[in-house]
Amino acid sequence: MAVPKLDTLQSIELAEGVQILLRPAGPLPRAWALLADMLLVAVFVVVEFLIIMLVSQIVGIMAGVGVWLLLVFMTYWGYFVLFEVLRKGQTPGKKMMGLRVVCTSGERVGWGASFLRNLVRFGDMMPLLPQWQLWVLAVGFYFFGVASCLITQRFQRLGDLVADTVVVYVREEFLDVTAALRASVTPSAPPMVLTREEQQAFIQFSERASTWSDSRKMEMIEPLAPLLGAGGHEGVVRALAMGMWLRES
Amino acid sequence: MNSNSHSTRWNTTAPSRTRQVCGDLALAQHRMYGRRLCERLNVLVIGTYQHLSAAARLGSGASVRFFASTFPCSVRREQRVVWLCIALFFAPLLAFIAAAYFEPKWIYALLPPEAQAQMDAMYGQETMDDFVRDKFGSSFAMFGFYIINNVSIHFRIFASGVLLGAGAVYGLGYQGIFIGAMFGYVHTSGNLHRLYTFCASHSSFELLGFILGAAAGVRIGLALVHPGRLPRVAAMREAGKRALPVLLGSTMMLIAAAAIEGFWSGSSVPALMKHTAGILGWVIFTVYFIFAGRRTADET
Repeated sequence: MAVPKLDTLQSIELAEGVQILLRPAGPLPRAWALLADMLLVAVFVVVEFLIIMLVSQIVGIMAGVGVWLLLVFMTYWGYFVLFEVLRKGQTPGKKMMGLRVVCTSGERVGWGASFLRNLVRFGDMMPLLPQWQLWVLAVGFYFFGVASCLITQRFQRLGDLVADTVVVYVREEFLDVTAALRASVTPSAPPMVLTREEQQAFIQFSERASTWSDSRKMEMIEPLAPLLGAGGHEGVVRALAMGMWLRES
Repeated sequence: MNSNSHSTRWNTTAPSRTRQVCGDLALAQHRMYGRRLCERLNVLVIGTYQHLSAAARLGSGASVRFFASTFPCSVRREQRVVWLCIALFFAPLLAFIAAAYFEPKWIYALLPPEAQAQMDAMYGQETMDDFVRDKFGSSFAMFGFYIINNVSIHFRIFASGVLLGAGAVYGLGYQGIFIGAMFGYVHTSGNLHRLYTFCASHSSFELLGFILGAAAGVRIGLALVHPGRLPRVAAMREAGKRALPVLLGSTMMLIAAAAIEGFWSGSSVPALMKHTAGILGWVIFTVYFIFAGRRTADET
């Protein structure tokens, strides 16, 4: 029987026979990354305009306009693709937020996948902001993108679904919160043999306990009360002690 | 120099290092050496994997093969969607051109007065048959404009096709209706020779490019409506793979169309040559999409 997953980690088995875990990023950090990228695109367009103004003194204003239009086109549609392929899946905004685009197989994104996911971005953007439906710099509400992110298990927008990609966190999650626990809880062995997954659950509970409120911790421990021999606050302390023991053994 | 020797050293040791770090991760996961160590090794393995699975280089052989077989074969494989899009575009286009002779008020109802005035200025009875855009700079400006305008429209029609195909159907029908109305308007009261001389050469590239881009979008959108035997998400992924060559090829066609429209269609080349080029374009594309790449193994 398939056990419903506790987290959003995506486990992928490589040809080398090991499992890697990808941590998909949710809509909010991606929105911040997008905002930074959009600002940067705007900066690029303005800088290109200024350079072309200087150059067109030499080559003539009409040729200058042509070059500028080409540059704006390439910036708007090519910015994401070029950065994602050449900078290992990271646009500057994603780099800032510690995100990266990878294929769902864990591989690097190629030209085809990146091109697809960034063109479909326009579909994700819909509905568009009325005053921004200009021929180039369209900006939208990202209604379909966010809806798709919330429906799918890996927070994939439509472009990710079509291109078979996923946006993941680059760095590991550093949660060194056990130092404070170590002073207040004395480790104790669990009363029975636990499977690997159960052990992991206890360890992760102890590591992340300080990020939850007391009532939330009690709520999480509630189903385990018979096993721990106590519920409520005492149950939480016992669960933490078992987690600490498992972690250090 | 320095970085070069560094990367060479990395590449020669990469396989053994990858095996090492994969072995470490497997061991750490199996023995549950704590979350922190496992995550650290996980990140290292992902890094080496990403490094080893670098994007394949795009060689010149790949692009020749793409246009010789991959692109026409992908178009043929999607021919039902392509025919649908051809009908969606050409039915309103031809209907509005025909309306010029039967019910011109349809055209006047659709085109706002400003658009009519603009068409009069460009293709009215009084306009001359010659083209006065011989300065290189002006041609280049128009080329840039056609790229940013047409290719952006093309990308958007494709992308909105992902929304159950509805966006592409709307975009394509809209283009068909308005291009039809503009042509029909010139048919009622304009300089037809000037219009068709200008449009002939790039017409095949531009119209077929739009239609194929829309077909690629509809292909993906339909995967969501009618996924067949696959789950919907998997159907979308497969449709993306099938639509990508069509999208790439049609984008190239539109870029070529913008170049022709910018540098050739508006130039002072004799009208006969422009008409010949236009007819040749349609004939060549028809033959190309029906026959190209049939003998290669790409066809499935």
